[in-house]
Amino acid sequence: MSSKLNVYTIYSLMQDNQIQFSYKGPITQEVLITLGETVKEKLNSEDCDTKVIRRIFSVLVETAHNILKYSSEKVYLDETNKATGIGLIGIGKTEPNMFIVFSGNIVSSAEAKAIEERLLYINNLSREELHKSYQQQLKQGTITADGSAGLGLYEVARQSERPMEYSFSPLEDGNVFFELKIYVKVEA
Amino acid sequence: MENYIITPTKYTPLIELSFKDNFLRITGDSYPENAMDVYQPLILQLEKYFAAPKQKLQIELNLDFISTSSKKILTDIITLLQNYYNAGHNINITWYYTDGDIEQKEQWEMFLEDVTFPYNIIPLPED
Repeated sequence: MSSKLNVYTIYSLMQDNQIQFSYKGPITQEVLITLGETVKEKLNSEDCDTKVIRRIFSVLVETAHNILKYSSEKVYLDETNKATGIGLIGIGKTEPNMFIVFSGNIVSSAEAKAIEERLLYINNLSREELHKSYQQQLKQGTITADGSAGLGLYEVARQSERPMEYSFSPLEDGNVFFELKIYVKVEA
Repeated sequence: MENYIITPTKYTPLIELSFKDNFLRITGDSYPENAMDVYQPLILQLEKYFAAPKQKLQIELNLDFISTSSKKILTDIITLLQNYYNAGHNINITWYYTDGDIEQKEQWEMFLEDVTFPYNIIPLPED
């Protein structure tokens, strides 16, 4: 019996969209480390500025942590007995001097609503307001027991050249597919 | 009192608090899923450290890739240090940034802008 899976389709899709790498599955801390190390090595070999590498890395870490914590699709992995979110994350270079960090994961419709409100709010801030809100949240916000400081999307927005691009697609089961695209500029 | 040392991993820094030589060093990357796991024990050690009157603590921070969760806890630790300083302890911080990386320098400046104890933010040559 032959599988319908066409690997070349995946390959072409990635090739055509200049996707440097992409991963789909449980986003564990171990996966994040591997992705992070790959990004650092790859960008270092492309002679990217440390500042750019740090920016991309930062976006990668915050989006990965969001998936790990908030994806409604979860898996219980051995050892830790903790639920880990499943999602897709990747990096591409869609145009010269611009990296794109993209992610996608399933969230509940309530979660989608909350995320959309946050994204709308943050996207509407001016650069200066963003800096102030970030600073305020950093200094006056509180950190929850699971280590969430409510800063992730602010940080992502700070590293991003353009407003954060996102979409929410309703799924048949009532959940929502949340897609996020962040553009990081390579400064000459 | 024993020294408190947490060995680094790929995503957590080396943490050394010397009760004998009066220094705290945090070196490396910091992006654990939950930064509380890493820094809460240090906060408890600092409480022990400053239980004695008029303690002196020289702090050296050399951090590279760092998540928002870790940044938040570090901000809280700096507020704690300010309180210890206000209570009569002698504290100073040297915070390294990658030479030429103004963004990182500004980030550390933002962390320290409200403190009244002495600090330096100095460049560390790229290796």
